[in-house]
Amino acid sequence: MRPKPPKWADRFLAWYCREDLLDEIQGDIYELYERKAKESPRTANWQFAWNVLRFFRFKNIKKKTSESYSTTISADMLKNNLLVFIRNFRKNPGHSLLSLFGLSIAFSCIFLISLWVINEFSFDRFHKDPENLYKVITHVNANGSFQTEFTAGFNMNAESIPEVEEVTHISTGSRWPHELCFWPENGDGECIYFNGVYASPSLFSTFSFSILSGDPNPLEDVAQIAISEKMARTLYGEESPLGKTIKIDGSKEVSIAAVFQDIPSQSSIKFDFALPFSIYQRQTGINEERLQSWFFDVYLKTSSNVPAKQLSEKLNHPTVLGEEYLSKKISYEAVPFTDWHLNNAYENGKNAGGRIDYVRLFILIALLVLAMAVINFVNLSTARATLRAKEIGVRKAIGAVKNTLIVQFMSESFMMVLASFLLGIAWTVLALPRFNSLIDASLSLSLIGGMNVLYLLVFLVSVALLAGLYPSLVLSSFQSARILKGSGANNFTGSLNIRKVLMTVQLCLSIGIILFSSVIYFQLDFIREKNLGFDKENMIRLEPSFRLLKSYDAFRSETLKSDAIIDMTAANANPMIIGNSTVAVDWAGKSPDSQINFQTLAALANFSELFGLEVLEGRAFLPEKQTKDSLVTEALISETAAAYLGFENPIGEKIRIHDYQDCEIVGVVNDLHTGSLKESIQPLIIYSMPIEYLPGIYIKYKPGEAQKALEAISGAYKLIEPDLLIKYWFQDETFDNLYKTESIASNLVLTFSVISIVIAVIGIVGLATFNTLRKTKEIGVRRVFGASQFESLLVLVNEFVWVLLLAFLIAVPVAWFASLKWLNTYAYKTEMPWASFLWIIVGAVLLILGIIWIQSQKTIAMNPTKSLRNE
Amino acid sequence: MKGSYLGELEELILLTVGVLFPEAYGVSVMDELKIQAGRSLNISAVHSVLTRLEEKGYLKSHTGQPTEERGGRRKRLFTLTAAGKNVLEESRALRNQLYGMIPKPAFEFKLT
Repeated sequence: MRPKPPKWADRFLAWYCREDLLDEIQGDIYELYERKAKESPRTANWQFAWNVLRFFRFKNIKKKTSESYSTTISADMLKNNLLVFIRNFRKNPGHSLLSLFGLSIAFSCIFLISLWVINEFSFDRFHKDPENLYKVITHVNANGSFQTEFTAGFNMNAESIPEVEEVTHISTGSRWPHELCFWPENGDGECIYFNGVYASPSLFSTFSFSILSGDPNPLEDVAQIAISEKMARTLYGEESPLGKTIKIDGSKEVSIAAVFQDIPSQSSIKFDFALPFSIYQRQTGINEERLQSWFFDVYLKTSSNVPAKQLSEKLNHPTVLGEEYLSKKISYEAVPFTDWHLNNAYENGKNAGGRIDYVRLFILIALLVLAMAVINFVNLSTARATLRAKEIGVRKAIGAVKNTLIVQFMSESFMMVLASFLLGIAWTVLALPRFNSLIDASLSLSLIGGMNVLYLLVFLVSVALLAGLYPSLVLSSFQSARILKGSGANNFTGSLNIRKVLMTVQLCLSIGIILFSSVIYFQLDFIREKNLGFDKENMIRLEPSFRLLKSYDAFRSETLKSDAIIDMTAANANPMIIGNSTVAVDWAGKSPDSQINFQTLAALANFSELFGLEVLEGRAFLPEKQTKDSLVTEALISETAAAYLGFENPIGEKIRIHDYQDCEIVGVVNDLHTGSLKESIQPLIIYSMPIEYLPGIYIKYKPGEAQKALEAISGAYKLIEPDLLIKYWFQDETFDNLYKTESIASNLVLTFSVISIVIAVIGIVGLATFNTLRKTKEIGVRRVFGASQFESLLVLVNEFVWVLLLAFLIAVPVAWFASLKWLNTYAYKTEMPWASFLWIIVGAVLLILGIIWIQSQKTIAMNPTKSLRNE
Repeated sequence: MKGSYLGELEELILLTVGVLFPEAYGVSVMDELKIQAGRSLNISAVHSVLTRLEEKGYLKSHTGQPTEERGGRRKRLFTLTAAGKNVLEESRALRNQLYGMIPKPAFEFKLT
């Protein structure tokens, strides 16, 4: 028997090769094969396959153009397509508008989210060579667990690293001495608060904050200030402020050396004025030596792009870090500055994401919403095909080929997608201000520029292809003869199944999003309602000036004259965000390598009473200090702190904090949440201090009398500080601010879940309409045989039962898993809201049934003879 | 200028087609090149050059009789056109002309 070449290769050749070339090429390959096969059939086989592959060239490949039809798309045909599209739109305005509406909403969702995402990613990238900027953070190894501070030591010797060009220390804060009041030159008394920084001279050479006029190195001189354009305009109007002197805190004079451009909103470092560190020393009264031991924000600029890991290693070299910190188990890490904004959460010394989690979440949501809208579009257009079956049949009968129809439906989908794209842009423009206030940002369409326009076009085309491909393939493959005979609608159960699958996916997505957002909502509610261990309601925080602290008693008695005020106290930190913690707590019996972090709070004697702390052991502070020793003060410790200290009976024991403050424990109080609920409770020591050390006054007022209380407070404030503008905060608002990211996220998720409901409803309406149309005759027959309206409804609902069931079966576990993962980022979390899960599911079922009922009402109630007569 | 320029391989194949007249087709051209010039080419390369030459108008083709060793498939037989003959002559003349212009001393090699 003669050897045969490998079949697959031969078939492949026959498949791709142009028919007019096939004979010749195949002939030649066969001839060579025969010749080779006489020597070795094996090599002949290989050679055959190799030759087939070698002939696979563009020239030899079959072209789509078949000679029998002309498929060139003429302008006339496109015009006709457009006309048909518009007619169809008019004929079925409800359906078409639903499609358009759903898709355009999804588009605007995507636009909004991508604006936000672009904005998030553009943070800190406006600097020159942004990849050469690093932020230095500090890890403290406390008993094997790491604590991360976002600052680094002033005494860091980073200049000795050859790659490092610039080192900039910046002292930032939201209160005095960073929040200062300045008097406008021609103003009338009222001063205006601005927030600024104290920084190394290299501030303006490390970062690209551009100086508009004046000294390019304004921080070199000890008595100079650089102010922002906005600040200059507010204080001096159109006049040039350069060279003028300005008073800090009303006393220290500095001259304005430079005006810089307002800091862009996409900057992590924001300030309205910059002062040199020498002023900081004068403000806080610390000497050079202590300044060296303090920690500030530290940024490095390198000459070339050094890997962060390598830079961190160099920072931890003893000559840079310093022997003292080395022995204290402190280490530095250099983090690329451009990553900082999105990745600034640390857990046990390791990066644990940050905002990037939310960015990812919303990209996911945007994609899901888009997927749902595209599915809808596909569903609606294939469903509408039944109504257009005759049109397709006629077109095919008079000579349209498959390709022409595909082109027609593709161009229809393009027009539809383009229309919704434009409508989506319109929605976006309309929704942008609202969206901005929702997420507290200033986004604008101008973020879309350069390459992004190209991406948008690519996106538009791919969505149009995605949405148009399936419908056009289905519609164009109708058999014209069968359609024209009148069995058009029923001959594609296959595509009905696909539609059901798509429907299931869509329901899954929207149910999943809704369930997840309900969990976020409940968790936020839980946080808001959580007992923090102290009162935060009806409390106003006031930042006192130095003079006010001195005349605290007068201020207090003046304020208390109003019956809206209950009482006031003072502390050195806000108990809900104490922030800094210290390992410098010593007590008898402390193990030498113990590195427990304590939070400390200095307060007036009546603090525990006013904040509603519960004294579990011992007593609260008394108005008069009981200890004889004038250097020893009294302290209250929290339960957790008591457990850490390990005294059998803590009352009367002595502890020493910050290496200089001796305290005697007089009582144990309940635990307080002194930070985010994401973290577990920290041990707390509250020690009694005189008012001079406590830069925060807390005033409790009677519920519902906030307005009156504020009037009383400002009245008393004016008496003591007639020139200064009062600054105050409501404690519950401060608390809400702590969870701003979360509440923004929940707002957004809620918005998008509403949108996903809208899109899902649109989808269900489409499918229900289609189903009803398809089953009109069946229902007619059933009605003739005596089925009730309810039974006929069941026929329609039947179609959806499996879809619904499957969607729930998939969506609930996935949503449960995702929300569990999210909840686990909190140390204190709400129970999984199963009851609300149930309600959501019941609501969804009712909604779907309701839609089906409304849609089918007409058909069911119709006289069956009408539907049956209609042929 | 595409169309009139003749590449080296094209020229070789054009000549071979002339040599093999009237039995020039893919495999025979490939074999002849191997024998005469020692060049082993893949059959697909020969095909692409042949079609290119035909497009340029130097070759014309007709289908021949089916043979048994080809599984009953026809050959495409190539013959030179007048343009093909011209272009061969031109290139030969050019070579001769250039060769003649080489000064004698250029050919005098000394053993060094």
